[in-house]
Parts: sequence; structure tokens; C-alpha cells
Amino acid sequence: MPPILTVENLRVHFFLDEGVVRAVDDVSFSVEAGKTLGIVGESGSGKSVIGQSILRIVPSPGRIVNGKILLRIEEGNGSSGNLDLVPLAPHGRLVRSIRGRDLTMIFQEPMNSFSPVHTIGSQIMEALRLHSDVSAAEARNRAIEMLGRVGIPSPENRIDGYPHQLSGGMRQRAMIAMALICNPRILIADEPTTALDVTIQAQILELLKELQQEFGMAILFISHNLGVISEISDDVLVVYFGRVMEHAPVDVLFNEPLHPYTKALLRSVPGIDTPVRSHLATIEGTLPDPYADIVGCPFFGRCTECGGETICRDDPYELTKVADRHYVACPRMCIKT
Amino acid sequence: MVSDSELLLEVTDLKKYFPVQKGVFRKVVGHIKAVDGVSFGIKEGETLGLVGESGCGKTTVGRMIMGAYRPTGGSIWFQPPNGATRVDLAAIEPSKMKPLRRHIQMVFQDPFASLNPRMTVREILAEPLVVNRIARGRDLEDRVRSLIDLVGLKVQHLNRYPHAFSGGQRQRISIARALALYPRLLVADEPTSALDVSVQAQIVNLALEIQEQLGLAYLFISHDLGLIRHISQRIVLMYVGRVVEYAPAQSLFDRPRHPYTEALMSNVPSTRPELVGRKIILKGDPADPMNVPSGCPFHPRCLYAQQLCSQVVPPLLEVDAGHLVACHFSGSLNLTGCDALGCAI
Repeated sequence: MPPILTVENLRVHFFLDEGVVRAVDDVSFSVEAGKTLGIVGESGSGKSVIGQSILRIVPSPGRIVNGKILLRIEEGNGSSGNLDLVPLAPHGRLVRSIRGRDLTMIFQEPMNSFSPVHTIGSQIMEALRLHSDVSAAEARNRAIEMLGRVGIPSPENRIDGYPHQLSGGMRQRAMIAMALICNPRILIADEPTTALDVTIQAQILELLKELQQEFGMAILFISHNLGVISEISDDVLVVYFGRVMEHAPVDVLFNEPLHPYTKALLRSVPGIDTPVRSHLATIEGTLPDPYADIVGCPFFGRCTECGGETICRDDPYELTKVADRHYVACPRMCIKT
Repeated sequence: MVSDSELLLEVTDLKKYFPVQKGVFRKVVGHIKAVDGVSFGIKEGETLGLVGESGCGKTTVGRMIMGAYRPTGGSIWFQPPNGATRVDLAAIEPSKMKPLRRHIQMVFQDPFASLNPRMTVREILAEPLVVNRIARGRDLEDRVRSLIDLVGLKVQHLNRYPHAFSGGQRQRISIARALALYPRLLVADEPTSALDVSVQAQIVNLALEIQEQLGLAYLFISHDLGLIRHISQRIVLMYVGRVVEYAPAQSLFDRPRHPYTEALMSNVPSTRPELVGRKIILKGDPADPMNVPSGCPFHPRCLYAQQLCSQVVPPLLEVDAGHLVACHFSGSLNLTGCDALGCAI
């Protein structure tokens, strides 16, 4: 099945007075319909900017400087083609017709993503009426139906409520209803459960899985939480310093990670194999200077496996295929295999 | 249970109600029962984990122990070092509190908000020593240097301001400041929640090393069950202002006795995709502390709730050695432990 979204060699740079921050640096991946791609990384890794660039909402002074974002377009007559989103004007008519209809996004803090002075219903109906030709009464019925579908009790009353009247978990459900009202093909979820309690997080993850089965959309799930990523993803992208370090199916990534950064990240979470009150593995050092233009492996200097081999520092960054659906960007690893 | 004499701190039936005011005349229309009858004890040199979801009152408990809030009811018995008699921090006069404060110190969640941006690290670390007239001059400098060394930073860092440090380094400075007066108890309120996992591991390691070196006790407050399991010897689990389960760590995870504990453990996302086990999805949201359900506060979400649960508040009773639980049916329920649930924390 051809992928619904393909990102090729994406580079997003932020042009600041102090220098250029390469927030996303040569990232490529693709997602199929009905599948979930997890994007995991620590703060400052550029994972959120990847999501923003697909929606073309990268904040200034950031700019997509290179790459392609190909969205698959199905024509009415059965043929299909790819539309590259990068050359389009970010505020143009075409992007706005795609954003909210084919591509939608949910955010970490739903309180900041809803307008506090409009009712939940009016915000959900607005999305629907902008993108399809429905009457106000029908839009209202669809919104009520959707709010019910995401598990909001008595949706016919809640639809006229304001966002502050809902709890955090219920607001996130309403946010999901708003994102899914136009039946999008791709949902970008940027840390959607980070602000929630574990019991509510479990509810929301379960709901997203159910809705994916029902509507068949692809999900791009961005999170710093390895556990959440392992539960929801089919494939996982590990990003560090704007680059993909490893890209693998979820069970491979968590059971047989190859990149030293992935391994270090997994070891630093206390888990079933870690003896209680034992010393946890840490990643020594800090992220490289954000303005630095690093040619080789950005993990060089913190990596415990390379032993300071100059090849890791000097060999240009490249994501290499090591197995089916499994890619690693480690010069040393790729020489070995 | 341990006998009272071994306890460094003992909290009994602690309560904190916040009044809710409304209207022009600020009329009190109700109370938020943030903490409603909490009891536990902390032994010398141990780590007690205090865990619960947001709004369960865990931070309020920490703040009452610190003396930041005056409890509405109950007592906080503290055993000062060198064999003095126990004092009740909840009832003590403010003037007598001052010399005791140095024995209990706190580390906060947000390392960006808890350090004064206008003070250098040297000034931050020296302040508690100066205020309490413990050291001055050469001696002060020596103590500041030993503190910065204790938390793994360098002497050169002393002249810098907080903005020059990363989140993890700032949290180290916070810990050094809290340790300046050689406290017997450190209250750590979500000290790693604002940090990345790799940095969190560094801070957890540091906390364990310091405890081994100085023999102080921790009250470790967190919402992260995996972290709490790693660091604590005993655990208190709270739900809307009450203790749900209070047990040694191993006993709690191997054999939970409260349905809430079981559900919470099953909900922790696991980093082992093949272990994704039985998830117990709870209905609804955590109860509102302003409007706590009758009887057992957990009954509207509980899978095993019966009529009694909505009528009578279950008392916290000992069901195994040192294992206390507040559930009417803990004896008849057969709940699944963490490993059997397939949760990999």
C-alpha cells in the first residue's frame, strides 16, 4: 500500500540573531493509512517542529529550507498523485483547505488550543462548515454525534458549554472530536497525554486506537514518553538534535535497539529489569550547542560505545537501512553490518 | 507497624480544608478537602514515596510538613535529633518552629522557578548558612564548596547565575541548597518531573548517593509509579485527600490490596511492547476534591464497588505486616500484582 504521507530530506532552520538553529536536519519518513508512527525525542530534539512543518505552521523565524512533504491525493476517477506541501504558501487557499480537513493536529494543553470565549460546539462546527457544505443544523448534529463518540457524557448539553467547564481529560476528548470531525486522513498528535494523569492517559490512548480502527486515519504521535510511544506506535522514529537516529518497527526498537542513543535512552528509564534503588544508567554530557553545524553524528562525545573514533565525528550523517523497515544512523554500526 | 520511637516524622489524621469563597462578601460556600485524614510515618534514613494523581493532595501534605500551610486538623510529630522530645509541628508556636526548620528541607519541581535569578550560586548556597548563623568567612566558603562538590558541580560554577545552567544542573543546585543545613528529612516534590529521562536518571542517582552518604530520610512525592517503585522503601498512595494504600514497596507492587492501586499500575505505559498486558481502563475522571463522593471516594470508578462502598467510608486497616489498605472488600478481592499484570515498571 503506498504511503499516505512521505517526508523527504526535510530541513527546517530557525534564523536567529545569534545564528542558525537546525531544528530539523535531513529527516525522511513515511506513514501509511491506519498506521501510527511514533516520534520520540528529548526536549529540544526538534520532534514538535516536524509536526508543525507538515501542517505548515512553523513559527517565525523558522523556515522549511529544503525537502519535500508529499501528501497523497486520491482523485475521483481512481487515479492518485502526490501533492508537495512545501512550495505552497503557508497562508494560501490550498493549504488552508487541506489543514483541518486532510491533516489535523491535537496539542498537549487543550486549554490553549480552544478559544475560551466560544462554545465547544461552535468551534467544532466551524471546522466542519469551513470544509464541507453542510447546514448549521446538520453540523450541530454531527458535532453532537462526534462528542458522544469520543466519550463525552450528555454531548447534547456539553456542546453549548465552554472549554473551562470541562476537566482536562474531557477537554482533550473535545479536542480530538474537533480534529476528527472532518474525517482527516492524517492526525498529528503532539504530546496529547503529557498533561494528563495516568488513568486519563490510558483512556485517551485507548480512545485514539479505537478511533483509528474506525476511521482508518494515520497518526503521527509525538512524545517524549517512551512508554506511551511503545503502546501506541507501529513504527518509531527516534530523533536527536534534529536528526533521525533510528527508525524501526516498535517491537524491534524496544527489544533490539541498535543505535547507542536509543539504547542509552531505554536504559535510563527504571524498568522491570532494573533492581530497586540501583544506579540508573545515565547519558553523560549535554546536547551540542544548538547553533553548531555538526557534520557527523550529533551524539558523538556522549556516546559510550564509539570510544571517540574519529569516523563518528567526521563521517557525514546518513540514515542506513540495516533490515526491512529498520534504519540506523550510526557510522560505526553500519560499517560493521 | 514500626514503633513510634523509631519514627523521625509521624503524621496522624492530618487535614487541610481550603475555604471556597463566592460573591461580593467573599462568603464561604464550601470547602475543598485537599487532605482529609492522612496518617503515615517516616523512619530515620528511609525513603517514603507519596504517590497519587493530580489533585489528590500529595503536594499539600508536603507543604504542611514544611510549615507552609497550617493544618486544619491532625498532628505532625517530629523527632528532633540529639534525643529531644517529640514536637507537634502542627500546633507549635511560630517562634519555636524556627530552630526546627533546618531539620526539614524541600526540593521543588520547577528548577526554573525555585532559584532566585539575581543571586549567584554561591549566594544561593550561602544564604541558609548565614541566616541560621552557622558559618561565616572562611568556614562559610569551605562549606559552600563542599556542598557544590557533593552534588557533582564544580567550584567554578559558584560565580554563575542560575540562567547559565541546564534544568538538571539547576536541580542539583536546589538539592545543594536544601542540604546546606544538614537536614534529617528532605521533602522532594516531583523533583524530576520537569526533566528529560536521561537527566532524571542522573538526579535519581544523586539522590540515592546522597542518602547513602548522609543518612537522611526522603519524602519523595511523585505521580510516576515507576520512579516511586525504584526509589522508595515504603509507599503511600493517595486518592482525593485520603490514603488508599500504605505499604512496603515490594508488598504493594507484588500484591496490591486496593482496586485503585491495581488499575493505576496497569495504566502505566510500558516500554516493553510484548508485555502490554491487561489494561484496567477506569471510567470517568478523578473525583473533585470540592465534591467528594460519599463513602469510599473511589467507588464511582471502582470495578468492584458494591452498595456498602457508596455509604461508608472504609477505614485504613492493616491487612498484612505493615500493609494498610482502605477498602471494605480488600479481604475478598483477588487483585493482580504488577508483574502478573504485565506492566513493566
